[in-house]
Amino acid sequence: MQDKMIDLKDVHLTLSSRAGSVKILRGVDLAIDAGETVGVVGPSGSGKSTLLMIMTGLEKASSGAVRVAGHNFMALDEDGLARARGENIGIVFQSFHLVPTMTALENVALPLEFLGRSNARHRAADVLGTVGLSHRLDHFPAQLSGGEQQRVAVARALAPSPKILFADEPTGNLDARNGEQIMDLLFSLHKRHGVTLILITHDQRLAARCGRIISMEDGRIAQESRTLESVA
Amino acid sequence: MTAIAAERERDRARPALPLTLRLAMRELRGGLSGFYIFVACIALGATAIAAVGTLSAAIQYAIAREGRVLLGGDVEASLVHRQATPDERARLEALGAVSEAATLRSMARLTDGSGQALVQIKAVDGVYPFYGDVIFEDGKTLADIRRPGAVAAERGLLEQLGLKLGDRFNLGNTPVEIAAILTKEPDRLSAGPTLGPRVMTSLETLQLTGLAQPGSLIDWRYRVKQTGAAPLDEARVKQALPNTGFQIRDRTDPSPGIRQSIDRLRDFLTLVGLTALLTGGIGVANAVSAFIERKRKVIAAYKALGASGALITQSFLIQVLIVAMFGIAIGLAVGTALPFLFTSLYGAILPVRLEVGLYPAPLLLAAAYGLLIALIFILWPLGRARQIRAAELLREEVDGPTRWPPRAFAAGSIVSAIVLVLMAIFLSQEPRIAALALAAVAATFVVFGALGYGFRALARALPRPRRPELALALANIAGPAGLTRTVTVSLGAGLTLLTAIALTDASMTAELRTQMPEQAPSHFFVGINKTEFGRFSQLIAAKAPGSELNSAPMLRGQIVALRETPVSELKVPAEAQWVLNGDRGLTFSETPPPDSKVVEGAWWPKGYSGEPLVSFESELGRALGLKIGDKITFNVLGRNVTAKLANFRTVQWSSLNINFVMIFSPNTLEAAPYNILATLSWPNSDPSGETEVVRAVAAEFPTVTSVRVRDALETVNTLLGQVFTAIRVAGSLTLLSGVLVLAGALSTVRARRIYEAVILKTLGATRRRVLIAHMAEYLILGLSTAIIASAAGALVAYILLTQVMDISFTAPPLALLQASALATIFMVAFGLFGTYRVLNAKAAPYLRAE
Repeated sequence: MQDKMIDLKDVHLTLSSRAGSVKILRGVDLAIDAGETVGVVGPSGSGKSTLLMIMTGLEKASSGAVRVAGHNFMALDEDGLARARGENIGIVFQSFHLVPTMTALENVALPLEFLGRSNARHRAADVLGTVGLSHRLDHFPAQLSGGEQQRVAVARALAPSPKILFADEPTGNLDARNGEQIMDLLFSLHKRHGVTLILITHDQRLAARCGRIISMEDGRIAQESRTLESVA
Repeated sequence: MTAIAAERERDRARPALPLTLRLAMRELRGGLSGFYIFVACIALGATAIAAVGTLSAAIQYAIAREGRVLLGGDVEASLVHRQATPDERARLEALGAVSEAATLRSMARLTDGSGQALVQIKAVDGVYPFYGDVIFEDGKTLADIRRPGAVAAERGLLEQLGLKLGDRFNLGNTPVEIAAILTKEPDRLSAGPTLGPRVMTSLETLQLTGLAQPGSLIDWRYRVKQTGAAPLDEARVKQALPNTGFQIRDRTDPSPGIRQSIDRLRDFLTLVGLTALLTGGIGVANAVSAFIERKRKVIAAYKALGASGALITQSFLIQVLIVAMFGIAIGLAVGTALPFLFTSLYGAILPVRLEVGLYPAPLLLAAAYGLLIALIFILWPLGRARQIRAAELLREEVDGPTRWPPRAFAAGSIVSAIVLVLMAIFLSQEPRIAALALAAVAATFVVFGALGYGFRALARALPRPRRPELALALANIAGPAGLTRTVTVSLGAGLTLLTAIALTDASMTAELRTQMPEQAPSHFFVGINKTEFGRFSQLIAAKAPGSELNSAPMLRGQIVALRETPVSELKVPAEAQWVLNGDRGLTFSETPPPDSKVVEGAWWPKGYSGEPLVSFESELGRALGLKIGDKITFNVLGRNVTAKLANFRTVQWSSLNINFVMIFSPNTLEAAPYNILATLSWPNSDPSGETEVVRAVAAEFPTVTSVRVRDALETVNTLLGQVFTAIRVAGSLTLLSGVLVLAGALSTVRARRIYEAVILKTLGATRRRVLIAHMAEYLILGLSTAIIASAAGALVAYILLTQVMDISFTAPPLALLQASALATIFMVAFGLFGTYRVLNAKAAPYLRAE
């Protein structure tokens, strides 16, 4: 049987705080194949962002098994996770998280430089061209609009040609028109490159563009459904 | 060309820097915002160390460069009391050309006896000077003073006695004519500090004055000029004149005393500069912590994009090191420029022409200290960057950063501190004192760090005041993110140092100005012929009724061996080295001096006639490693005499009575030609009576030199005042560093303060209430730190004065208060300046941002 791109088994996460420990994930089982598009939905506090953090290795599960792109995330240390992320995963954040002191080009080149790629800036310039920002290479984030910043973030996530692209509320800080454009961009890139796309959103309409929808509730997967997209 | 193609073109031309460096350079594009205090703290300390080092190097370089001129020859061999024998002279002449000069202290008297002044005579031969030029006013030359009875005098003497060119005055037994006015003599510096104006004359005229008698306190100096190809140095002359009592030095070190004093002052000021750097280090640590705090999201983003922890910390370390280098570069530039300013202001009055410029050694030292301080204070907070997790991008961190940085960072910080301490200790001329000073500085930091915790604990423990302003002030002091610890450490260290300096200065000045003259003698009389002493005593008894005349025989000689080991082969502690350097006053006595106490061994019986015995001052004798029964060989009048150490005794130097390090049994020295040294204590004297005594002595005993103690003390006091000015300036830098640190700390808490003030205003607090709350906080913190720092500074000064310097401790309220008052004012003023901005912040934007 072919390896899953993401394979979570009985994943739990408990965080400790001054007020005591809080159970955030309570036994999540999830398998995602290569090339799938998956929308993760759920109300605030349902655990969907935490699930993203577990799948991207930004957070380590308290228990359970986490395999992503062939790596056992439970066995890797902080730097091992960073490397695995750099090679396999691209993340688009709601708040973009661009480095303010770097130009668009440098922001996009950054993950390639972390991987030690020699042609980082060439590749970054190309990817910025594919997201329609070839005229904004030397602009700093503060000189770009919100939509442009998010496009830089998408380019940065895609630059190392990841196997999986995670997008956490990618339109949350954008107006409707820019939001729509970003979503079109993400799905067209998915189609063009065959990258696995995981979309975290509270917007059912956006999730409906994915092939599968996972509904989170109280730290568990409450419901899973296939959409028309998956059979299209 | 498209933008992408253009970028490819640029990329090809770009040099390939390592990724860590590239990241650091990109991050630094944001400028130095947030780093100004960091840069200022490092720059200030580096400036102090670089300036002190450059100036002292410029002085040392000038002395070395003009070594021949300052010494008057390639080598100088000097004798006290006696001239070189024809055989000794011949041996010197075999090495090169020889010039003879005699220097002595004497009195210049007006011919009508109405006035006199202490002068420093220098009698020279026909070939003086070998190097450099003697300059006189009005184009006169040395030829003008070569005829018998002619002298040149410095203008100071003419002004003191109301004389002019061509006038006559008495020197010793004979009248002399002022044939020239001396403005500059090339070899003045090597003679060391002097008490009166110079009178220059020929050796023939000196003979006419009758001042050169056996036993007279005259330094006979033989300058040898290299004439052959073989280099002439100290070693060759020593070889030519073994065991003859000559003191020999060469052009490489023409003035060891001055060189050592400059080295000591430089070491001390460097330590003070280091304290300023250490205080500034807190500002550096605060700035780096704030920087890491600002960069949390960026660091988390790096991690999310696949950067390793090592790459991130290396890149951030490079960033802060670049900032530190910038601070160091400013420090080095200003530290190099300041000596230029000093030279342009004071260059004219210095005895040597300073060649201020780039001296790599002191600049390297300043850079090394700056870098080490930066590393000590950077690594600790930077290690926390390693603990920032990528998850922070999506969720605020639940747990705060852990208290300790990763082990490698803590170790790096500690190793840097150890290297700094070792450098400071081993580069110092006096490692023990440097170690003690560093220990004191470290203790001060620990005490004030602990005090910060103490204040916070106390503020937490106190019952909540009813007035909300006070409650808020106490809450701010007690809070973990407050200013308390930064204030106590940054202000405390500087204030302690300044208070200690102020009190040491005040106590030393008081000791010299007020306390001593009451108990101390008013005049010293030097060079009383032993056969005339009876007549001298009668004159004093007649002219100064009720006075007390103390006297002692005096010769000068030098220690040549201890326990039969030549002194050149001995390694002795720095504080006792001076006893072995050059001539010491020697005396003999049948009984111990009145204010001395024998603490080990026994005094010799009256009429003792056995093996020569010597009594040694206990502290110095023990520092030299001597034990009762040890042999001490000294050279007096060209003869080596060995005496057995009979006892150690205490000496109360501060009494200013006649005291000697070494006192011999009478049979050792009484056959030698010696003179008498006498002190006059005259408690109820008046100035006119004193003048009359000095005039009468000068008239009756023309070869006797009178030294007014007050004048001598005034000279010491002036010198001490100048040294303390330098120390105060350096000490003030520590306080300035503290103030910078404080300003930095206030700016980092400002955002929180504004938010707090906005909330308070929203809840109905007036601006006055907020202002009072802040003022109360700053006043409580500033005042309590100042009071404790004053007490700590007083304690340091007390220990230093009473245990090390043996000077009584006085604490004038003004000296005690000035630093404290200044610090409290600084604290409140700086704090309120920040509050002004807090008060004027509009509430809406902050609340919207939340």
